[in-house]
Amino acid sequence: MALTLTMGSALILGLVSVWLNIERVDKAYDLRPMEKRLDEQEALAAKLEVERNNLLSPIRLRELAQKYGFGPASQGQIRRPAGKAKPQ
Amino acid sequence: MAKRKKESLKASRTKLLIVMVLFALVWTGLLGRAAWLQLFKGADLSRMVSRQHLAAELERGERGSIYDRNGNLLATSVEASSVYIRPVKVKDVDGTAYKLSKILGISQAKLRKKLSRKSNFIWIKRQINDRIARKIEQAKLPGVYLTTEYVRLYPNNYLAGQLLGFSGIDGKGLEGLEKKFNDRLAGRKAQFVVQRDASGRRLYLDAMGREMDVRGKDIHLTIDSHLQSVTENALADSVKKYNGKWGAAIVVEVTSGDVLAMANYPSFNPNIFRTSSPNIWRNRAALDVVEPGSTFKPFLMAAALEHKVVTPEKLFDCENGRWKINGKYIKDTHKEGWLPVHKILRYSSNIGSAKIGLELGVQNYHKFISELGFGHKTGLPIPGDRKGLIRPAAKWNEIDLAAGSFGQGIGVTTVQMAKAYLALANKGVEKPLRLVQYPRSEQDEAPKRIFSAEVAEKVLSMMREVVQDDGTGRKARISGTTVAGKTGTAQKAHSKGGYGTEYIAAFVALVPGYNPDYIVYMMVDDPKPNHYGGTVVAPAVKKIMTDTLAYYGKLPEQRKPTPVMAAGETLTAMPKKALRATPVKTASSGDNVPDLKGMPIRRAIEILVQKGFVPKLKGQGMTVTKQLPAAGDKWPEDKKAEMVLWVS
Repeated sequence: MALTLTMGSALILGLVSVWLNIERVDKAYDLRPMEKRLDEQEALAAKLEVERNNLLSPIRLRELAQKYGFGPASQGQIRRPAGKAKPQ
Repeated sequence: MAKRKKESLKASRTKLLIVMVLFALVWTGLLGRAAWLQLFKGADLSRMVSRQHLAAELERGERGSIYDRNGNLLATSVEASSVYIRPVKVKDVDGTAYKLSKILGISQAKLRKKLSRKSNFIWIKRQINDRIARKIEQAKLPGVYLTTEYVRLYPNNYLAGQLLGFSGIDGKGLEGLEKKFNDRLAGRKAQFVVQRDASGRRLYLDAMGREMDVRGKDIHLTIDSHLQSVTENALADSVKKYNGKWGAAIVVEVTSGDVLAMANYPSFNPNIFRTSSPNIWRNRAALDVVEPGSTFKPFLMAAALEHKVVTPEKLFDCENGRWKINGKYIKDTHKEGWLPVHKILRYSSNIGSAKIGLELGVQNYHKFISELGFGHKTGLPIPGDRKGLIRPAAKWNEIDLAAGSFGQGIGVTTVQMAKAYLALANKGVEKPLRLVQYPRSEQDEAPKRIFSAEVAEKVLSMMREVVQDDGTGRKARISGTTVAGKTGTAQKAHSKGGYGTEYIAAFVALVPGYNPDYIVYMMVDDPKPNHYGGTVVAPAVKKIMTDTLAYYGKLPEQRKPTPVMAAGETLTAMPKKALRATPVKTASSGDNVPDLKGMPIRRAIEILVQKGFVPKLKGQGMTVTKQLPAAGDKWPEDKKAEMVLWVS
């Protein structure tokens, strides 16, 4: 009886082990395309970040400001809410 | 019968023996073969198996990024495709050359030459953009392949080009901070082995060594990209307006010692660095050693005051602008007689400075300026950081001392000057300049006091006179606050000895003049036709100061009419756009000109500007006393009609 139980357990463990290994290989197959997609997304994010910084670069902002009639605040144009830093 | 039985047994034994021998031979053969495979061929076969089931992969990390103090990107790496060919796999050389030429814009002859070579790998074009890469992919040309590399990008183009430097196509830093921090920024390599199945698909069954971080490390600078841009623009305007050869400027925050901006002109775009001359790549602010001229005089004053050789009120004869010493003449731009020390700085008298220097003595002066950092590297992480040129004290003669007292005969960099002024602004205690926020640099020694706080305040007071009184730096005044400054107009040494007709115009400003928050130093090489620091550079430094103060919300209101307005800088100089930016509800909506008399000038201007007129101001003061057109007149239809407000 004990021998039968031991053999049964060994068989089940063996089957589980085989099943886990098959799963592991399946996941490994899935992992590669997922990694590739992640890399692509990260590369795209890096490019978009460069584009964002390019669009917000001080030189471009100044050109746009000039186009729309804006410029650095001159004296008398800065308002400070109460409690904030006071003019010197 | 017995004989037959005996013979039969013998035959059986023979058969059995044969079978046994055969078995033995078979087993020996098998064992021999197994032993041969295991013991002799084992290693080779194992390698073959590895080749079939394992593949080596090489991963290269991208280069780290460079950020400004606010986290804005200054330099980063992104993926880009590069095209290469394996000529042995190319089937149709002419057709491939034709198609590649069309996509990449490379001549067919050049491509044919490469395609015909007997090589296994040839680059065709590196770091192409995504659109072109897609076209190459779609063309599906046998023997033509794409691989991924990292391309270095500078999103702000020209901004801080000389400071950042650039890296080459292989990702190695070649100039500037890219070179200095190459070891930190450079991406690392990781090589690992992966399993593959019969069809060649790769299996990642575990980390297999890929847990290593191969990306280069970032650096964060103290530079503020907005202020860098402001400084570069002001510098460029000044150099272009006065036909200078080049210029350099630096802005430093006093409390932290942070370099907020370090600008050079002419500038270059590190994205396309090959299109500019290597001469322009130089970070002149840190590398070019020049004679500082009169911007050096405050340090002479500090040394003389510290050694108690002079007091601010001690009088010196400025010899009416011309003084002979050891057969050489020292000249002043303005002819002055007896002047107290503070006015020697205010009017920038070379003769007065030379006499103070002679009283101070070589040893005292040399030691003092050496402690301020002249003749030593600044310690900023800039490739080729220069020491400047201060000869040993033993080699100085009387003329050297006299010339050195007004900043001639010695060589300094813009960064060294900023560092020395930082000590002055820091009440006589040295403070290291900082260009990189992270990684933090170790500070070796505790800051040392070079001169007393009392002396620092006296020198600052003299520098305030330069700007706020009738000194040489009047054009740097900012209404509503005080500015301490010093002009410099240094003669350039001629390559054949002596001095030529070229000058370096410079100006340094500390703002506010009491307890400074910021230091701005700028120099322009060989400006023409005007070469005075107070004219060429002071207005540009003022522009940087006002924009810096406005950026930090510290730009003060105009308190009252100042000597600047009296000197002609009236509110008529206010830009229309600036005035338009503050609309107010006024009594100006009627058809007639309102009575502006008695109104504060600001309110009167707002009313006129809202109607589209920019008035001319006459007189000095803040209250309108008279107006043209008179109150009650119809608004002129011509927006260019003359509008005048008399103020007192």
